[in-house]
Amino acid sequence: MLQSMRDNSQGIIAKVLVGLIIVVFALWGVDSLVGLATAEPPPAEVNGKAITKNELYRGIDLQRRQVLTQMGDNADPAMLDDVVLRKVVLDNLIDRNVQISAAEELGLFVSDQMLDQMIVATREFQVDGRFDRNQFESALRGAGFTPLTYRELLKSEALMNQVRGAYEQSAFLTASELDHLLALNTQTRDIRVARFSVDADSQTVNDADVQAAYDSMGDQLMTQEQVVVDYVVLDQADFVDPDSVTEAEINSAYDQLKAGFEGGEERSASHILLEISDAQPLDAALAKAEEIRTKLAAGESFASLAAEYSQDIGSANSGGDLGYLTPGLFEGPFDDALFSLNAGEYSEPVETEFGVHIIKLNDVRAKEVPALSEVREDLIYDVAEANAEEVYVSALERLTDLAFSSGDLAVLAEELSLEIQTSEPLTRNGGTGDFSDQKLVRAAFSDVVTKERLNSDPIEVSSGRTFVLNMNELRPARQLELAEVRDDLVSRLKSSQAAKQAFEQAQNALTAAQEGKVDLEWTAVKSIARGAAVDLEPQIVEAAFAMARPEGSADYKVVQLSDGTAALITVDAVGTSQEQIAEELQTQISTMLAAGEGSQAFRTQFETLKSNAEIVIN
Amino acid sequence: MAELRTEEEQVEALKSWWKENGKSLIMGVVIAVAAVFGWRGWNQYQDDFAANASAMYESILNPVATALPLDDAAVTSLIQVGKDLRADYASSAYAPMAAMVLARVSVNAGDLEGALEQLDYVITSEVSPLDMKSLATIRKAKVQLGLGQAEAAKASLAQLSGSDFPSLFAEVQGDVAAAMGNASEARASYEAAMASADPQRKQVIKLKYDDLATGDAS
Repeated sequence: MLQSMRDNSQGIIAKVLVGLIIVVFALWGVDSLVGLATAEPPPAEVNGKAITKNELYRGIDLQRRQVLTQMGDNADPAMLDDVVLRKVVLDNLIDRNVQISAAEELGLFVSDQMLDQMIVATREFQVDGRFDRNQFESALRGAGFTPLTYRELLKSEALMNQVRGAYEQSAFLTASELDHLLALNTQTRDIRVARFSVDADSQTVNDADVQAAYDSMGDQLMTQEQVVVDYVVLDQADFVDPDSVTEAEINSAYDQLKAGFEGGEERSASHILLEISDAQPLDAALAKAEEIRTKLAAGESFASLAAEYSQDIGSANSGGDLGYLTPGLFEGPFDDALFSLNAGEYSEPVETEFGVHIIKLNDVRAKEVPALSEVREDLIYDVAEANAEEVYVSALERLTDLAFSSGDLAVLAEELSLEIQTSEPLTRNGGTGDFSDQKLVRAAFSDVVTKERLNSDPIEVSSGRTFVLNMNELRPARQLELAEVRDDLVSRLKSSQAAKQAFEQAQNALTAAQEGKVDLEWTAVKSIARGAAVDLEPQIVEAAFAMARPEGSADYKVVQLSDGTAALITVDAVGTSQEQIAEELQTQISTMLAAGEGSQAFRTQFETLKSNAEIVIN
Repeated sequence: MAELRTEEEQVEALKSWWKENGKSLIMGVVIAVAAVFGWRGWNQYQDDFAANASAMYESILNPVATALPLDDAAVTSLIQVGKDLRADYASSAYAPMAAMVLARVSVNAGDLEGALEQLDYVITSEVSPLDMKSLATIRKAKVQLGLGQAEAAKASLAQLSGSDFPSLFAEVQGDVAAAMGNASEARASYEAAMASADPQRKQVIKLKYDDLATGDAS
């Protein structure tokens, strides 16, 4: 058989086949064959262009990072759910691809060179105002990009912006349009208002009305679902026990403290400062410094020269004394000079940001270690805290095991000597104290606790405080009984009846007024402006500006206010505000209004694009 | 080829074959090489063409998007970039896109005639997308209103049967009607405009709408 295979493989067909395979592998690699076998449709296609799985996963990953950096530990896991994220990200990718496809259709193009320029000009990638390669790469890593994927993103972003700009940034207001709108917006009106109100308490309602209201509002009258949990708290603070700290521990802590001081030294220094100013430029200051040094060399005392010359007000009168200094306190030349002197010597003139100094080293001493008696209390507490942490960590391990293995809290409480406590009824919005923490609330409402009735996982609320929850009682959402809401319903009904009557009164007054029979208690308000009335309800102001200008016969309008009062309004005069609007502000308003019009134009353009695009979601 | 026995005969045959076919073979190779390079060169040319136009457009869009208000020198130089773009890259969509943005630059600089010219370029350019022409026409009517030419504005809008930008279209229709003293028609147009406007726009349109209120309508 082998022989026959060998013979056949010499045939022309076999050679062609082998040749084909070689070509396929050479051009497309092994991937081509594997790919054929596992070909799967892409998550979505826009105008025939696929959104790849990779893009989608990268988008989901980025989105998750963003949620986490914005909200940290408090992030709602529901927002991190893959299904939810997938939908959000895919929608977003589709929108982007619709725009990019339109940009490509128009033949728009962003070259590599332009991308380079954008990257170099990005402030986040700069150190000291200049582009920095390391900064660039670390910023990208932090955000989950590689340089390649970032460039891709930037490119599509740039393409979208170019199209968007043509529709959005191109919007404008002409000067006459702006003048017209500003005049309208600063218009004032003189109005009169007559109010009608009916006392709600004087209303009567019968049981049938209450029942009818209850029936029609039934599903709005619900309680929220509540859960009461039992819980134990493992608290590191409970393990802090200063009394248990031994002498040996205190001594070893003190030894460590001492080690920190070893080799350090402090230098007592004095100085004479000559400030540099317009009146005393650097040359003059240096010359004066030399003069002082000559006097010092001649044996004059440093302290009296300091009092005479030093412009450091703080030290001049105390002989220039600065006290004991540790290295690093004053950086740079001052430090260098001070720590290269021997005791009793003074320095050459030293320039710093403060001016020119002459420094004298008075004394050198080893850094002083505080006495044990001084720090004993602090040390005991430090040691006790460190010990408590150890105990806490091992107790936490035990707690985790027990919470998982036992069905309720009794064993945990007994073995770790914890007290079982019971929470207040919690809604999904949380409770008070520790239970205002969403992590606990979510755990309390988790399926493990409410459905399976098991212990929750241990939840660390703040560092060193861990909870385990177990359900005590679940109070499902229910409709409130009529008896519970009756009072509330009755007062609502009374108010609405009163409001209706008030409205009718006002309406009657309106009719009378139109017929010229005006005999009302008017309150006149002069020159009200849009959105800025002091004593008037916004509904009245809005209505007053929506009414016709008073030309010929007077116009009336009734408005119902939120407190049940009805108001009859009439406009007496229309005026213009005397307030002048600064030109700069006018420009800002014009830009803002144009931006609004532009963004509407872009939104409309995008919606049309999207509805015309061929979008396939697999 | 069995009859070609000797080497000499074979060489002879090759030579005559070459004589017959040599030229066309060389031509073929030359054409193939030229085609490949030509194609590459063409692509490169197209990319360069688009990239240059793109960079010029960016240089107009960027200051308008980030650095308003522009000073006179900036306005002059942007308008000039627009002219260059039209002169050298008229077949690129960047030319009308730039004109859209420059219309705003002109309006802000108080040059309404200049703005009209930019918008007319967008409307007549063969490479403008249709919806951009429509938007440019609406804006042209706005500029004409600004020039006090209500009739001309009305004629411009009449070029559009409906629009890809229904709210803006209706709003400008309302402005035209108001300018011609036709309050009730203006109010009807403003009402239509408010129906599909963004919230901020709605407030602005309502200002104009309310001001034309009549006793009967309220």
